[in-house]
Amino acid sequence: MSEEKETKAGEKPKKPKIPRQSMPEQDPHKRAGNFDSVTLGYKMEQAALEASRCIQCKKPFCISGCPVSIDIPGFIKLVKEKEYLKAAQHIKKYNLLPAVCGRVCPQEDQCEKVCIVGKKGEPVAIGRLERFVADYEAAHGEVPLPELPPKTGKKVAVVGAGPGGLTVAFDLIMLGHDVTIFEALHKAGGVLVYGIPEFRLPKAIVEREVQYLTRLGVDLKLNHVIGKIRTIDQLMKEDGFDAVFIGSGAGLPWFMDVPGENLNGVYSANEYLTRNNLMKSFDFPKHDTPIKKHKNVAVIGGGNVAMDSVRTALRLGADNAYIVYRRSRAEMPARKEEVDHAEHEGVQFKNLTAPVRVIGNEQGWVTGLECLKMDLGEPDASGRRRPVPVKGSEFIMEMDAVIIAIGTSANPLIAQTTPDLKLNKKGYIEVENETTCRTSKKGVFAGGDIVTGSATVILAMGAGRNAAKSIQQYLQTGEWTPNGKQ
Amino acid sequence: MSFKSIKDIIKYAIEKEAEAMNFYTEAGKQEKYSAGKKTFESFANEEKKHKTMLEDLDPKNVAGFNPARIADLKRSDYMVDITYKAGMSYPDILRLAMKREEKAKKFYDDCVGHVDAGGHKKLFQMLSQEEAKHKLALETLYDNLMAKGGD
Repeated sequence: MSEEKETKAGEKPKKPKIPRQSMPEQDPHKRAGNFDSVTLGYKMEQAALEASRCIQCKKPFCISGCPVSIDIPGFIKLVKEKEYLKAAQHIKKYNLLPAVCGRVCPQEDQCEKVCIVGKKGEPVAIGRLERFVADYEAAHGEVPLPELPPKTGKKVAVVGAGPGGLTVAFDLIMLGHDVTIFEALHKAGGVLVYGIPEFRLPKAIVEREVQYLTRLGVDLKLNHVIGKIRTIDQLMKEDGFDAVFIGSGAGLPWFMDVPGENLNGVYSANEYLTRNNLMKSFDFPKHDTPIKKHKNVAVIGGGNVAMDSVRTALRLGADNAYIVYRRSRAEMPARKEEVDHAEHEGVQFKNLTAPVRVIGNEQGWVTGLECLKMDLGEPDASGRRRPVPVKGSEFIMEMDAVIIAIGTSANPLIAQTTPDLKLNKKGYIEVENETTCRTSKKGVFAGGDIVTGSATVILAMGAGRNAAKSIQQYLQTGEWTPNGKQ
Repeated sequence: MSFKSIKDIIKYAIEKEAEAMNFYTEAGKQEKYSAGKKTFESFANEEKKHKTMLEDLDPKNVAGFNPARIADLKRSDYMVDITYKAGMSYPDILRLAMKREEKAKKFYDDCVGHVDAGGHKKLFQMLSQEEAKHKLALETLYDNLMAKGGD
């Protein structure tokens, strides 16, 4: 029987459904040996076709699904009309970093999750369209600078040039304030430059966005570790800043605390990724910070950072690159797309497997990893089935590098030098609420991972946007009362 | 260590809870920052509750005790020992507390194997079960925290 149903007399024939446009990718075997971008982006005709799938809902849920509330139907309509530059300019009213968010945002859990088209099929590929228009704009000359308002005479310090800090800086310079960003590293971008690998997010994109900010007049001070060079109090009392935003992220790695974790060849994912992404160790001798080549590499963890680390290990020439994860695949916090990419490239998954000891030789180098098989136990009061070790299931894997990617917490430096800054019990900065981003210290605001713990780029940007609004209100009124009320 | 009566065992267990309470209280005092202070204070309060429960325990009820099955995630069992340092991170504080509960449970489990008197055995089982509950509570807290980080 034919799949096509006959149209009844008098009925309007249905338009054939346009499938969600897939994105071209580098061949998995080829890309596992290079650091070039994995996904290649839409071509113009693909973008226009994908845009035509959007039904322009009158009450678009996708906007509320976006942490920075981009007018998604608005920009997609412009793509459909092939007004790509206008589409890019439209997004930039809401989002400073569309080329970044189009690549690394978990759209499947945000805007695309609530897309009406997705109720009866696959959602509109919002992220891919966002990436397309941002890349199109970048390929078609320098973005014209918007007109800036007259100067207010107010000075704001932004601590950390990550996605949250960059967003605050952009919003406040557009309101006429003087903005100085203090970045601890020698490059701006935070996790976008030290954490996310080149093959997922080319660094030229981040540099372009940062340059856009400096062209707008943001003063960017690199190699400035706040808490060491200057304290928050000094910034406010001696350097004349009227407000400070802290967006210093959560860069302190966690470890497993199992025997052997101090052996040579054990890395935190932060170190491993920073050496590659920021210091370009993969490009030795062009860059003078090489990294040891390892044959058998185990990455501990199942998040996006673990996937980035294991895929980096493959590209650095590992014969065997493993994900060792104590839970099952269903519990992995990494994006499905990243897990699939890793699998296609040849990463070997050891799920329901927990490391209990790193084994070393007499010279102090890693030679193996002892693991236990895990089983999911009975559901607890919350209904969650937690992994428990299977008795007598110990086994040893031959290994010469172990990379720990099991999470991070806040670097305590700023808190240690700012005694009146209240922290929650996990060590993150306590804010009044997510809208005002006010800390316990007058004139000091905070947002992103330093408040929430490790989260996503777009959530940090959303916090930055809220903080900028709150800072603006404070600078205009000088009020520092709950919720800004008298 | 020898215990002559059930009352002796309960007295010993109360002292252990008091020691744990004091340990966390002192650690809280040494913390310069609000985060660690709060966590240690909450642990000290928890130990205080355990101590009160033992103080209120009627030795007559021991004979009727039937051990229940308490899940053991064994998160701390494979970790290296950890000592208190002022300013330690939240995961480290949890590890420290988990390790203490693991040791306490092991101590009572060992005692179960070294006594003959049925009443004494039951009491040690009861005490071990209490420590197993505390261990599970801490390990669940730790497991939830670590799961978010991708562990």
